[in-house]
Amino acid sequence: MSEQDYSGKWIALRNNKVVSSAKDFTDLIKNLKPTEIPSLTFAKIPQRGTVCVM
Amino acid sequence: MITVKYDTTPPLGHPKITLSLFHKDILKHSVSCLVDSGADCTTLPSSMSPLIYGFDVCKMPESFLKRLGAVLNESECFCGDKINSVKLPLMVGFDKFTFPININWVDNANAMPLLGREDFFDCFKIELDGLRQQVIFYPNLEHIEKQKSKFDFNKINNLIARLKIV
Repeated sequence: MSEQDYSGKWIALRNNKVVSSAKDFTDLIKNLKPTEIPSLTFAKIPQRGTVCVM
Repeated sequence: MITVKYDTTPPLGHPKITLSLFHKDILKHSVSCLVDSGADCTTLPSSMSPLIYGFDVCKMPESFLKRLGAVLNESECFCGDKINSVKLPLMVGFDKFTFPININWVDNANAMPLLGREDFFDCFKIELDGLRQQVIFYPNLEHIEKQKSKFDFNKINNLIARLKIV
């Protein structure tokens, strides 16, 4: 996972392995089958230099 | 005691944990959240809510949300940006624990999922160990039990079922 830079992207993980990535969450789930979603973990990788959090 | 190593995805060194999200006792999916003591409450993008409820929480009529007992807010980021948001409780799983917390759904498809103070931080003593790149959670079992009866999920689930969207 560390070999590729996912900065700022959404990723879907299964067993800690990236199975899909996209620039936004809506695009990410478009590429996934509804039946596989419960087995996935979604994450957003913070963009480099991000300081703005709620 | 639960020890979670910092995220190893670049950019490195983010304290994150995985929350499992449940609706009507069914696991819908999991989400990796940044442990953020600066966040008033746990925050998720509302674009994720159709995977839970079958509809986007932030796109629902105000009257329906108020009947659910949701709190309509305007969330403010430290940078000054303001986003509409809807606060609604949800059952979450972390490690071996399952309990409800309030989720602040923000009307921003790409908002960073944040684990905030309300509810969750009351259930654990949390220690950030930057030297060892890990977060340590000490569960407060008494408070976790108390948290389980904080929300009326029957009312929420019945109203959602009556909407006939799920």
